[in-house]
Formats: sequence, C-alpha cells, structure tokens
Amino acid sequence: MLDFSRTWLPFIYLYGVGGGIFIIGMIIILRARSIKLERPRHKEWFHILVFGMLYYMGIHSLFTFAALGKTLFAGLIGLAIVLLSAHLILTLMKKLNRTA
Amino acid sequence: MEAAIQTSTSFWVIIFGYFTLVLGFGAFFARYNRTTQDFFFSGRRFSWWLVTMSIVATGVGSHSFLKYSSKAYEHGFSSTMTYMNDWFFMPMFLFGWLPIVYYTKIRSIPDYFERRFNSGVRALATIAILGYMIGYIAIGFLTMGKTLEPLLGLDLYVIIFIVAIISGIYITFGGQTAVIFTDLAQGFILIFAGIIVFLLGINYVGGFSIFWNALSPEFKLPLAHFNQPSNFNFVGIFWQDGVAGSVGFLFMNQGLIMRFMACKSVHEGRKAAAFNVLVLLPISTIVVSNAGWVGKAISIVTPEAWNTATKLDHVFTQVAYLITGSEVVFAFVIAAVAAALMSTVDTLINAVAAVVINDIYRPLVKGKDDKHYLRVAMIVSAGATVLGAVSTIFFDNFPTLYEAHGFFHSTMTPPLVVAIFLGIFWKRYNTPAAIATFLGGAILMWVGSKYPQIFISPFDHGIEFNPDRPYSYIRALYNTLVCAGSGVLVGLLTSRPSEKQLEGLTVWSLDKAREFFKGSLPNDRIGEKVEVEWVVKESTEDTVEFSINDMEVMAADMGDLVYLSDKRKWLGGLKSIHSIYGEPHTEDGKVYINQTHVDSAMFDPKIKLRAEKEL
Repeated sequence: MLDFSRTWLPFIYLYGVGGGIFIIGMIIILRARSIKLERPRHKEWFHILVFGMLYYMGIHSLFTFAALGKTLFAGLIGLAIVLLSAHLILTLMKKLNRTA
Repeated sequence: MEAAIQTSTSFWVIIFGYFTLVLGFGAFFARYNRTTQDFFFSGRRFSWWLVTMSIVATGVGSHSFLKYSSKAYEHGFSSTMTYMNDWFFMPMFLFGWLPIVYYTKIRSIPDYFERRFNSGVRALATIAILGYMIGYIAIGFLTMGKTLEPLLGLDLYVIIFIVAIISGIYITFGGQTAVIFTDLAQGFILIFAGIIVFLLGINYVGGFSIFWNALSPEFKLPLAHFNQPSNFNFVGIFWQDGVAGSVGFLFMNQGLIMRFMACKSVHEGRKAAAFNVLVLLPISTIVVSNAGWVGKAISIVTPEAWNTATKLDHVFTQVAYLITGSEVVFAFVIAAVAAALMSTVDTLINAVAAVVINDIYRPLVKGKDDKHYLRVAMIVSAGATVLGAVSTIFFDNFPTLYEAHGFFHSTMTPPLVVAIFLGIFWKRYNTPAAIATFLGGAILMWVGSKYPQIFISPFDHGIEFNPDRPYSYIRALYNTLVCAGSGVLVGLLTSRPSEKQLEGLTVWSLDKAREFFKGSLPNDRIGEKVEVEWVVKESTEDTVEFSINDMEVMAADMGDLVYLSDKRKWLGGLKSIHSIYGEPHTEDGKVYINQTHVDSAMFDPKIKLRAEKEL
C-alpha cells in the first residue's frame, strides 16, 4: 500500500531534519569564518556544498517519481542533475593548476 | 557441516592467488614506512584520488555486501538509504573537523580530547574509541565468516580464526602505506566486481525492462516506510545511520581520519571526502545492494532457480553463484568481496594500534626510540586482531548483520560523537561538560535500555515496540539527546574555558590552527604549480631553494611551506616531501634539496619535480 508514510513523508523528514542540520552547519562555518567567501577556492567549496545538497535531493526525488511511474518528472530531474554536474565539473577543471 | 555451494580446486586457487597478489602489492609499498609517523599516517603526502579510492574499500568493505544484499532482497531500493544520507554533515566535516585534525597534527582522536580538555577526558575517549573500533573489527570478521560459510562448510568460528590470522600478519608488517595502496587496488576491483554482478544479474533475468517491471513500486522506492516494520524503517535508520552512523564514520572513525591525514593538504582531504560522498557512495550503494535486488527479481521471474531456504545473510553469495555461470568469475567476485572486508578490518587494526601507542603506551613509556614504538605497534596490531575475532561471539546473537551493526552504532557512537561535536563547535563546552557527556550520557543510556518503554518510547515516532529487540535503531536519537543534554546542562552551569585555552581547537579559531601548523602567518596569495629539476645541496637544513621567478609564480615567500612531488601524477604523491622555502637563487627551473629529502621521497634522478606552495 503506497500511502503518504511510504512515499513522500520519509523524503520530507529526511530533507527537513537533514536539511536543518546542513543549514546549521553552513551557518556555523560562515559565522566562524572557517569558510571565507572572499577566497576563490572557498567560494568554490561553498558552491560544491550547496550543489551536493541539491544533488542528493534530486536523486531521491528522481527515484521516488520513477518508482511511482511518473517518468516525465523523473526525466526532468535527471536532466537537471546532469546539467548541474556538468557545469560544476567544467568550472572546476578550468582552475586545476591554481594553489591557495 | 556440508558446504551449501560446491566449489572445485580452481576456485580456491583463484581465491588464494588473488590474496597473494594483494598482500604482495601491500608488502611492496610497506618499504615506505620508516617511522611510526609513516606507519600510521603515511607522512601526509598523498593525492586526493588515491585516498578517496582507498576510502571506498574501507567503507564498502566494512559492513556492506552481505548486510545490504540481505536488506535489499527484503525491502528493495531503500537499502540504499544508509549510503545516501552523508551530505548533511559535510559542511561541519570539511570546514570544521578535518582542518582541526590536520592542522593540530593530532596523532589520534583522544589526543584532541587531551588538548581540548584534559588527560581524564582523553582516557574516557580512549576507552570509547577502542570499544567502537574493536566492535567494528568484530563485525568485519563476522561478515567475512558469513561470506565464506556457505562455500567452506566449516564452522563459522574456524573461518573467523583463519581470516584473523591472515589479517593480523598483513597489517602487522604493512602499516598505513601498505593499507592505502592495497585499498586503492581493492577499491577499483570491488566496484568492478559489484558492477559485474549487477550486469550479469540483469542479463540473467532477461534484460533491464524485465528486471524493472518485475519489481513492485513499493520495492523500488528509495526510502523505506516511515516507521514500519520495527526492524527496517526510515526514521529509525535515519537516526541510527544517517546521524549516529554517518557522524561516527566521518568524525570518529580513527581509520578514516588517518586516511585524511595521509593527504598532502587539507584541500586534498576535502576533495577526497567530497568526491567520495558525491560520486563513489552512490556507485557503492548500487554495488553492495544490487545482489539483493537481482535475487528478488530472480525469485519472481524464475522462481524455480531460486533456493527459498537461502538465509538472508547468504543472499549475496547465492546470487553471485547463480548469475556468474563460470567458476572463475564467481571466484573473482568472492575474492574481491573478501579482500574488501579485509581492507576494513586492516584499517581498523592499524587505527587501534595508533590509539594504543599514542594514547596509552607513549604517555606511559617515554623517551624510547621510534623503532621501539614501531615494534610495539606491531604487537598491538596482533592483539587487536585476536580481540576483534573473540568479540564476534557477541554480534553473532543478532538475526542479521544489519541489525547487529545498527545496534552497535546506536549504542557506541553517541557519547563520542556528541563530545566531538560540542568540542569543535561550542566554545562554552568545558572539561566537566565533556565528562558529563561520557559518564552522565552512559548512565542515562543504560537507564534507557533498561526501561525503553518509559524513556525511549517518547522519541519512537510511532515505531512498534519489539520486546526482543526494543527500538534497535531509534534508540540512537534518545542516546544522542541524553549525551548532548548532559553536556549542555553541565556546560551552562559551569564556567566557560578561556579563549587562550581554545586557540586552534574549535571551528571559531581555525586561523590560529593554520598559524600553529605553519609556525608563522599563513600566505594565502593565489599562485600556480611549477615543474623543476632537482639538485642535491650539501646542507642538511630542512629547506628547499627555488629561483626568485619560480617563487613569484608560486606566490611564495621565504619560510612558507612547500610540497614537492615527482611530476608523474599517477604516483599520487608516493614520492614526495614537505619542506620550507629557503633563500631564493637566480637559476629558473631548478630546486636545491638535501640528501634526506631524496632518501625520504625516493626521488628518481631523471624525473622532474612538481612544486606547490602549501601555506
């Protein structure tokens, strides 16, 4: 029986509580100036951290839609993940030889 | 006892051949261990890709093929949950714990507790961490025993005994460099083996669309039911694995921490961790779970081929046997899995030795030379192996490995995880608060396990109470809260530590940690890497001299830290050194290094070096 507790409630809980932990972590490292957005390398890391969160949300929602037979939604999410990943990889590859 | 799966001599020849190859590979790289620093941390020299691949073998091997195949067979794609929930803690790990560990040059996690608090807290942390790692080793041995049980037909404990002897010999003589390199090879091989099982399995059932359509929508959902059944539900596993397990693995697994400390810089450590979670964990979760999904599809599509009496922990071995169709491929798959399990165990044995030597033995027996500590480290490695093998008796009482591991995480990790977290992120957290976390937390955890219906049920999220194994997973939430509550309460009621005391030890003073690491103010100007020829100088001073122009390209000043490695990137930093920029000269493309640098890195006279500024 595919009720709400089986389909979307775990997803909402995962990204509600887990997302809360992630945001608290981001706030702490920003306030502590452990990550400094004025440093180019740190700015890249900031983007990677946000990307990672969206990437996992994308994977979980893609598979939930696919399991429920909603292939159009699943396909669109898959495409978005691929585009985001390609953009990130290309951006990082341009800066391979830099240090600090 | 008769073997459930019949094998011939050639099967065992392949298995032993594989192990000999892997052990030989590790032994070759063990020659790079010259000091205890090399034995435990590999001299902080490796590139991210080498470390991240070796992490795969450690993480996947630890609890995976058997444990996840059984849950994948029972519950479907939601067996992937545990590999797909690690990102939440990445900000705190990458920009909190990792730089602290690296820059403070701590030798072990308890070492951090002494610097942050005092020797008493260090002792409590040492006990907790040794218990955690010995338990992990035991689960590794038990898994190995269960993998080989249907093949050998021997008693489980006889198999564990044999495996323990092989592991003990290997790690005792190899050290961390050997572990990293064998894990690197095994990381590739076990991903390859897992993908082969998946492809052959899909082929066995008749193609992907038959496989996909045979499985019910419920089976294909990536997350389990919110709170049912009691032995596999989303919310319990989220707190047990997503929180306690993930944090435990990332923040307090000494074996993993040692891998990151083997990276050439914090930036490389971050890359290793991020790549692992973003790319390798999603691949790994398919690798370790797919045998269960394929097994379920086989039981639906060709029920006559499926042995319905297969034990859940034997699903992986059964599926691999059915679909490979050739004894050679089957032997390769089993060898890869067994070797991966060995990787996990070896890493942890090495980590136990690091903790015992640095946290117990060195403070008691001071002033000995490094060779003495290296010898004792080898003896401790052997002892940890025996203790791990004996501890398997406790974990064999659980119905499946998954449940044994879940109970273990829920119970062992919360006090240390909470103490590490509050230690890194909360400046007010002091020594009495840390003691309260360990001792008060332990007492309240014990009370909770004694009276679960009174203390744990308010947090159960509607999970059914199972009197045989009450709240196996969700107890992690209760345990974490009582440990955190004890620490926070005492922290608020007692005086806060001075800023001076905390310098470099919390996320709020990382700049100080970098300054301590370097010995002067860090240089964060952006530079580039350069390739140079090397010349040996007469001086024994630990400095290297570049031209003024090369220094400008690297944006480096005298006194900054420099990393020099063989220019061949595929070596991953095996031939490399860390040093300090000395007085510059005018010969562009040339670096002067001393004989100790050459000996330590084993530089090849004909190969140029690549240099980059660290700090």
